[in-house]
Amino acid sequence: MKKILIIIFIFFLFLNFLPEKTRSFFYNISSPIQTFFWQQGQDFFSFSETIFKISSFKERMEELQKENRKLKLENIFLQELEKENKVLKEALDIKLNDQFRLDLARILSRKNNYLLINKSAEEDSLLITEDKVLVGKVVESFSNQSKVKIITHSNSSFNAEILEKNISGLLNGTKLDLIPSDKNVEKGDIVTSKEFLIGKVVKVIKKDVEPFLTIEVEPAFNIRKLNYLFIIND
Amino acid sequence: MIKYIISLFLLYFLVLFQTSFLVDLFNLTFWVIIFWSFLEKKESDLAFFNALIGGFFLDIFSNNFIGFNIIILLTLTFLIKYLIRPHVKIPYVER
Repeated sequence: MKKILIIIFIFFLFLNFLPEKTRSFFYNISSPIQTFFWQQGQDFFSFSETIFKISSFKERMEELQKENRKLKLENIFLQELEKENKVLKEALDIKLNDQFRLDLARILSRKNNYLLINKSAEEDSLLITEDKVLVGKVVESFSNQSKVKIITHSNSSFNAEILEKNISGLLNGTKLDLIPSDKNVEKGDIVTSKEFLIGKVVKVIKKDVEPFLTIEVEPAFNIRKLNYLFIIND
Repeated sequence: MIKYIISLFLLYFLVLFQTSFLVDLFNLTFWVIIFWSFLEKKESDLAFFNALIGGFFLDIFSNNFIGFNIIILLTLTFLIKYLIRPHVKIPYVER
């Protein structure tokens, strides 16, 4: 038996010469099961999230009372944000299909910061949600599936801009780099890339000795709640 | 032979469950294979087969080269079966 195992192991190593065909074969036969598991996973985790929330209801009540006081103070800020959102919505409220050639794809699985989708797309094609939120970029294409690197991957980089402040930088994973420390970036600022929404600024660290700000961005999507994505083919 | 075929299908479904249902929660396949190495009798080869097949499926659904997880799992299985198990007595588990 040990000899057979060694032969299988060597055979597996030889498959590295045909990685795309090998992976494509397994992705093709697995995609119906993966679709089922992904759907069930979403249902299960949203259900367990609800259960968890019920159990911490009392704590949440107290928190909410405190938050209520804070919210009154933040009301003014929110009104400003509402105006900002209105502008943003107007800017983004154009039918997606009028602008781009889109393909609808379903998410099959996720491993670390990579997604597997059920459509073959050209490498470097961007993926967005129906709300024009940028999710990632195709890094590997198979016969019927594609591998997508999510924007939160530390090696992923996109040109990014802070809306309404005309500040440009480079988004590396969740870090927004190359923004000079003299720029006025605040928590809650909206980050976009080209015409797509990326997320909002959640942390800004300014160090006198460093020429650039350290900015952390929270993506506008929750990958666990996504089922479908649009591939931009243009 | 039957147990190897059953094991192959179970590992395949386990990896699909891992990548599409559990996602980043924890690596169930990995721990099942390690746990099996502890439970199995020394003369059986099923743990090595599990490490080989489980590692292969994990490699297929990850971004590493084919063999990355196989090597890790085979090494751990070898260490458990030939270095840890002969010297460590685990209650309720036969050597």
